[in-house]
Amino acid sequence: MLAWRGVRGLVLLGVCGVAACAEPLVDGTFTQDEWDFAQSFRLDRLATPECQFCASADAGQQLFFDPRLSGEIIADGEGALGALGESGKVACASCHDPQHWFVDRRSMTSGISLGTGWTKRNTISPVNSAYLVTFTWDGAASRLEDVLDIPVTSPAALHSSRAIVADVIRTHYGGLVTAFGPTTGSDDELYQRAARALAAYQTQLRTGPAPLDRYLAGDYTAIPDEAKRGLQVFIGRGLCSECHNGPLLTDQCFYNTGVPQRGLHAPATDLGRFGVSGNARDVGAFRTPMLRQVAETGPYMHTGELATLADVIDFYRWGGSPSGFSGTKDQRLLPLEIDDDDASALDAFLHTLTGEPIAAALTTRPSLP
Amino acid sequence: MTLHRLVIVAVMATSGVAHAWPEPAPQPVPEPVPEPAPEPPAPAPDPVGPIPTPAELAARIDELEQQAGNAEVVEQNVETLSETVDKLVPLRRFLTIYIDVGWFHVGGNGAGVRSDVGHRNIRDYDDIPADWVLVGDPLSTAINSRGEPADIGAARAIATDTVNSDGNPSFIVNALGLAIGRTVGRGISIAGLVELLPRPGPDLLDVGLAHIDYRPSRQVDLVLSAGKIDSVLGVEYRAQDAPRRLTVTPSLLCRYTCGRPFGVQGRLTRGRLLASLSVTNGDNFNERFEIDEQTGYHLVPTAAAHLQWILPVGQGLEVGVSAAAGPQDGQSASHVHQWHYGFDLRLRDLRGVDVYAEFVQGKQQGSSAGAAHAADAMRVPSPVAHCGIAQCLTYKAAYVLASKRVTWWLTPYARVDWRDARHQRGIDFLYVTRALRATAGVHAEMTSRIIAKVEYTANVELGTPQFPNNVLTTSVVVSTD
Repeated sequence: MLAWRGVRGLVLLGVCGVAACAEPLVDGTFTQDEWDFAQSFRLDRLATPECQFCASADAGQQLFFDPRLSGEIIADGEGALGALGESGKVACASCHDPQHWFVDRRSMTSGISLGTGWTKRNTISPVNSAYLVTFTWDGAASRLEDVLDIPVTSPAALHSSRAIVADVIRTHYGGLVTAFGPTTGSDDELYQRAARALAAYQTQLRTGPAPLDRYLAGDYTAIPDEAKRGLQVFIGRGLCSECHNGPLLTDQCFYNTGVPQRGLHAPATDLGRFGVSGNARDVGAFRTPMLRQVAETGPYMHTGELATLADVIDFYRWGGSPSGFSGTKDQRLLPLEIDDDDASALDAFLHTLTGEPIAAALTTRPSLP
Repeated sequence: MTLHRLVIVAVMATSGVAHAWPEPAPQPVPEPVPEPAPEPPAPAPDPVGPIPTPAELAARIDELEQQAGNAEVVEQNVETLSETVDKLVPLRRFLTIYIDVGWFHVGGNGAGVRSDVGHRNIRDYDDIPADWVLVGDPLSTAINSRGEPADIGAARAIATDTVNSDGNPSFIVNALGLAIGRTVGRGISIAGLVELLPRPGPDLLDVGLAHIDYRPSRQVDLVLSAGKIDSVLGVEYRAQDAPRRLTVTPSLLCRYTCGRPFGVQGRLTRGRLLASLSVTNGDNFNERFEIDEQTGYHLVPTAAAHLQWILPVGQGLEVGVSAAAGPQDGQSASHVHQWHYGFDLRLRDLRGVDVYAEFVQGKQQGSSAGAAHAADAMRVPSPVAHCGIAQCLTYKAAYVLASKRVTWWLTPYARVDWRDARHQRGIDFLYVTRALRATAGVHAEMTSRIIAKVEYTANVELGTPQFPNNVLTTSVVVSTD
């Protein structure tokens, strides 16, 4: 009797055992949920940015390399581009170095950049910025053609003015009628044309698909296994995708992540987004940086304090700095539940975000009029 | 009689007092009859025989007295041992030991929850990292009567992954249980339950029950209890341990009604009415969710009550209502409250069919800090996490369990569970559960002391993507009583 009951029990176990199935994993790594979410990182999910002023892109490239837009140098030191008081020495390309993915390696030892003076913050690469809707660390510009205002009016960047820019256009770019339209007009009109030309040039600074994009499109050999695990940590317990999400791996929002104001020339305080919004909640908050080509765009953080991605991962792994920053750190900045292997995997993943380099024609200094 | 006692002593000596009392009791042994010794050819009978001298008589008397004294000492020893044995006999009723072993297989990674990757399912809680926003039910993959999930996965409210199967099938010793119960006189009795849990990593010891009961009157069926007591809410708690549970696993709402808090309670039965009232340090939740200490946090305790009527349907249709209220556990403010109510029904043996059904609803109010508190009051979004001081929990749950005894030893059963709950603690975690389960199983009583159960549960997540977390689990319980 007992034996018969046992047989019946085993049959029942067998039938039910089939139903308790294992979870299917994409590429042996990702749950379907994780994989579906990761698809939102694909660059091809973005529409090609509209190039409203593309006819003036070549002129914009010239302006990008043109040091005549700058005013007097007010700070010297290692890496200075001229003597104190000299003008016409600093171009956009001086800090946005086209040979290094448009970031500043010249002032690297200080973390922040040396234009006509020491800027407050680390230089951001304009590559792929055409996809963005907010610009600069504090979001002071919401259109690409508005970005020029920031270095022009900053004594530490170009130390220039709308009038100086307009005068350069009027004096040197008079022959580029098709690019700018008529080079006559008020200073403001000419300045706007220059800003649009620069925006047109920057719109062309876009990379193609990165290894991550090919991987997410189905080429499972496009990235190494460690990077796959890194992606899993990135969207899982690393909590990175809380802010770094979407095709550009930024939500373009502003957070206080507890980055201290450290560095030889970094200001003691930086109110960040508060300077734009006036909202007390934004004190010390900065825009989530894009992670496309991030492996090539160090140093990192708005102070340029961290030299490598491993440093950045370590910074967030311990929940950011406990002090030394303005405002209140975001409550989510807690020590992460990741280990050394996870950190290493994250580093590997972040190296899969670099697409094809910008075409040489766009990174070469053109002859200036 | 003396020899009988000697036999008892011999049995005790060979079995040891720590062993259960041997059964059946030894039968009386008849007095041995001495074998007659071979006798030499008898001389001619001397009708009188030699007459002892006075000295011989005196020596014989001394010898007899000596033997009588020795016999008395032996008899006294036997009586003492017999009394000891008599005292040990009730141990058989005092201590029940059971072992619950099983095997299980749970789909996926063994966990009943998944992170809301990318905030794609739960959109109104963006201030909590997606990895800490969990959908599903962390206890939906329970594999034994204790409600332990096969794996906790990404769950954050459960402190310890006691089984930690990671989705692999496994054998398990669910519990080695020691149930204690003894009347000590004057209407007073004590009861306790200790379970030893062999687990990966450190083994666990759980004292489930430890209470003193008092029956003040023979005329009134009233029991007053104090200590670590059973809940009074609903009906499932009454048969929640493996030897008494029909199913292998608890229902989804057992977590709210099967706890064993510290406190006092009274149970009164009058005819068809049964009333229970308890006053405890805190809620009646399963301790698995209580990272807080069980000692009191407040001046005001939590009160819980249950009223039940028995209607003449089948062997009895029990209809009950229960409620509990008090300051919320795990925080010090008395105005931050918790409440719970529920309805229960039990139909006993209507043509062999038993039916249990329960519905519960409850809330732990929770408490937020600073700006979040103000935002709570104004019902506006806040960048500061809610429920950061005390966790917030709202829940509704229900189940229906039906069984039919098809033979004297075999009882198939089926259960449907449903639970809808939200549970948040600051930005540490948010659970959003809309779970439905269907369970089918067989309960086989091989003997009165050997029970085998097999159970399969299909889990369905409502409103969120499905993931594999169905449960196949078994249990064999062998007990000494």
